[in-house]
Amino acid sequence: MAILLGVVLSASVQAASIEARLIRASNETDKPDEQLTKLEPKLKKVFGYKHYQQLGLKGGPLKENAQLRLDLGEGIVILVTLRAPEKKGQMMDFEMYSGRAALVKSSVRVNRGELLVKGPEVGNTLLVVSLAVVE
Amino acid sequence: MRRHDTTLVTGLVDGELKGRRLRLAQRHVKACPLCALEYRHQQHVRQMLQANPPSVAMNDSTDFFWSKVKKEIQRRGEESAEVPQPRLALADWLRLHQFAMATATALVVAACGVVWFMQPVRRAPEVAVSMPTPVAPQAPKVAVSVPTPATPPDFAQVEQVKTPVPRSTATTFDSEEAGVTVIWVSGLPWTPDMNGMKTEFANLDT
Repeated sequence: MAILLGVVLSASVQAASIEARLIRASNETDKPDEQLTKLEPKLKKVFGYKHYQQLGLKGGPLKENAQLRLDLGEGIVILVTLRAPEKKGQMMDFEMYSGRAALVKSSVRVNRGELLVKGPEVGNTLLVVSLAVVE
Repeated sequence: MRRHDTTLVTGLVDGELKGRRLRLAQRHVKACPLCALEYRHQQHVRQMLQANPPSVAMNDSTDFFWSKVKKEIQRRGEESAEVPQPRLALADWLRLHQFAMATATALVVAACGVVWFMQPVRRAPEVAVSMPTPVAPQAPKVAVSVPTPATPPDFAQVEQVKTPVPRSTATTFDSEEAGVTVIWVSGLPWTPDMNGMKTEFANLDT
């Protein structure tokens, strides 16, 4: 069994806040998670697992040069720092931690799209983080 | 050697031919009745001449004669002289260049191998992503793209990505099928359960 930890990050030019999810992907036959109705088809195409369960959802306002800390549960924490807004989207620094360990450090420009981050495998499941900027 | 070259036959009779020219001339004389006849005729003439040396005495002494030959050779120096070359049949040419042919064949085979080996790299935009777990699902095909100005605006643009975890790598791609940008971190430590994951990463100082 692998655990899929996913953070979905979506953003828009006028985005004022960010929304992040921690998702576990597995092949266990389980009821579909209604909270992931929109996102599940995309997750299946990218990661190929049959079932996705949302383990955590956190959001917060984006402020320029201010670090936003979102604890998604299961020891997964993401840090998002918005840089100066641009016409092409929101430029931000994104970091993903599990405990003290930094799993990913990235600079991302997000407009309307979403960002999926493949996290660690736990058993037969996979942890995924989904990140999106919302207005 | 296809042409009936009496000069070469003469050279063969006189013992002037060396190496491949000698072998080719010998083979031709064995196979060609006309040249074989010429060869036997010249041999006969040679034997007759040897048996009946000229009785005309030279005006010069032997030493003086050879000194003149030596001076003439020195006078001509590096002057080149045309030497008749036998025309080679395809079989002769292949035999003479057998090592070159073998090398060329090996190079062609190696080039084909390299082209075949490089084919998956050319198809890089589509990569199979596999999960190293026992019951992991079949990996989806995703389109890999480096952030470029042509990237559709719906995709997030990852300008920089790295993972500080040792022996792991982070790459990014746009999944055209799913319409999302993905940061794919591979090589992270596997743990059997969530508690194991917390313990593993709690002790991992990056």
